Amino acid sequence: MTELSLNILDIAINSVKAKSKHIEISISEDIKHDLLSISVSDDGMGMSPDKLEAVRRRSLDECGNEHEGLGIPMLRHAAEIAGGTIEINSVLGMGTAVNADFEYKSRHRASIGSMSDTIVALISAAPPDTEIVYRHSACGSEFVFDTKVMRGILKDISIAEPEVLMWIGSYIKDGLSQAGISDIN
Amino acid sequence: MKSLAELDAIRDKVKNRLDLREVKEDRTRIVVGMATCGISAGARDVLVEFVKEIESRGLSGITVTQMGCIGLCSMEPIVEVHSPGMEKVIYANVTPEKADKIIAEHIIGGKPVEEFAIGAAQTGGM
Repeated sequence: MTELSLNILDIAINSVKAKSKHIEISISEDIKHDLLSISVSDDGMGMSPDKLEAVRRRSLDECGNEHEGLGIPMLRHAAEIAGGTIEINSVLGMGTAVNADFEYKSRHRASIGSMSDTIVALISAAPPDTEIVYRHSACGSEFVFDTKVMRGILKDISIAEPEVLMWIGSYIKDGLSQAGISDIN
Repeated sequence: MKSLAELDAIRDKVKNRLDLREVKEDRTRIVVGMATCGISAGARDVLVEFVKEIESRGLSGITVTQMGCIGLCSMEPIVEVHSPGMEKVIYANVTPEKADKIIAEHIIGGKPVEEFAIGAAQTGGM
């Protein structure tokens, strides 16, 4: 994957597959402490301790041709080459949380890329009643996007209507730039 | 900052358009493969391009959604088009440029783009 926003989309699609009703994505750019933190958490079906252990252990080389479950190893690789780590926690029936840390200034760190495209794609991909919250902070300012706010306005109109999605894309781009965050960084 | 009032106006516009249609016809579904293999191959940009084209051309009655891996990872991004009254068509190695052509020729023109389709594309029409 060429940008971290694609890894984020991939992990969040796992949350959709796990029948989550609520998916929360957080990005924190702490340049002062040279730390980029990304987390995706959900209230989906979660994993058993055995499954979780297998997911934690799975590496990119072990996967071979079997692409199923490659998403976590790819994110781990992206974090580790940039001096970071990932942590996965999951409770069966409760949900899963994936956290990845990166050295912000590492020259091996992939760029975040377009989060507006990732959120638009995720809304399209998820069942219409999925709540998606996206928080992005950098240098003391924060942008928060919450589908619940959008739904309050849209009422009986689907959030996945193309006109609505395009507006959401520009709303996120605009909100990030107001908060001093580039949508391609 | 973009105002949420704009979203309210979009809501009214979409609502009016949906109300105008007397019969609720079946929607066309554009389904993009969004497993890890699809996303790695560029599925996100393809999905966003479909949404953008549908919006900019003012098309209605079309849903863009996702599916998992169908075992053809090397052909990702894969897109299925399900139009009412037509066989589904599977497109392989789709790019944003190809997505534009699929919208113009298949979704609007009603004729599948055979050069991008895999298997026997049904061109019999409605």
